Amino acid sequence: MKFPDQSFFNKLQSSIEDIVDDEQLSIGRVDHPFTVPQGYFDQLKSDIFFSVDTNQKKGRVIKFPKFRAWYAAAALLLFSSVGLWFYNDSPDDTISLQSLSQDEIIAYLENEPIDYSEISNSVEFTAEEMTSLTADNLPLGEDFEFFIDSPELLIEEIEQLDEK
Amino acid sequence: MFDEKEFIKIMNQPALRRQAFSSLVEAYQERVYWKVRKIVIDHEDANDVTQDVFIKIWQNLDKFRADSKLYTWIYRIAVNESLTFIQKKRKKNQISLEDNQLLVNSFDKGVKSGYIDGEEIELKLQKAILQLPDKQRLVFDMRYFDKLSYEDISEITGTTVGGLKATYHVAMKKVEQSLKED
Repeated sequence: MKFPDQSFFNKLQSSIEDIVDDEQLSIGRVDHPFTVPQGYFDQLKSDIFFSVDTNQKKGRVIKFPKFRAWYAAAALLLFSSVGLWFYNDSPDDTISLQSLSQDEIIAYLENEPIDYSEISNSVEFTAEEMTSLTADNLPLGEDFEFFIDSPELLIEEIEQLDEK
Repeated sequence: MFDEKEFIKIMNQPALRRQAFSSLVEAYQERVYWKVRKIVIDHEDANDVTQDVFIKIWQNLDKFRADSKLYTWIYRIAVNESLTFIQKKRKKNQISLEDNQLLVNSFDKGVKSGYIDGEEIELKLQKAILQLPDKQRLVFDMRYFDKLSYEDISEITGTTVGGLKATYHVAMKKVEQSLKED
């Protein structure tokens, strides 16, 4: 493929700006008292690219949307008071969470299959909706939302619930 | 000229991706910043979160489906990143997840440092808005200041239009009450 010349990108830029203007996105531009340091927006683009490149080098990539949805599902399980069982078939063989390391708990969350229908009975999602949950389509304002980006906080909550 | 679908196709070609992303950053950086700023209040926090938003956009552009609008998808990421940020900040400071005192402190700090500067009534209004729970605050901001349609807010927040109307009504009443008491 021939790499397009600068005019192609100029046209692209102007198209995006037209789209934004068509949508009359006045967002943030009027009626508020917030200000930024002088020249801030001139610098922001290069800061953004620096961050994007740095993160790529570090390999900090959101790997598995399903995995992330898993934490939400696990949180839902906990909040709906469904028991968390480890490895054994019999309910009598429940293992205390306090006896497990964080690595073991994370490994469980990553590897164990989840019964979406069981969770969906406890919450307002259908089983189909549960399986299609990703970080980007989770509803707002739910307690579990911030656990998705902070699995260590989820672990803390699990431990606190277990102590109760 | 290109429409959104064509733009996404261009973004998904590895050789063109970076420069196309540059155009997107150029077009959206200010809007994303202001969206974030009005949620997290503090400028430095808004700067960090804005960069995180664009990292997420860069990482997830291939997941964007053109059946929703590009800008509602971008704002959804911005709103989610901002809410996650303030929840983490509350957790770190060991305060209730509903407590807006940290945001009020940031607001007062901003006024002192000059990063928040406006007419007295504007400042009063912002402080009244800061008393609202996060979701009401978001809906109020998007409807009252950004003039977004309920349909677009619904797409951004994943809430029904009916629910949004009720939330906006409650938020408006609270803000009015707060201004009267002040």
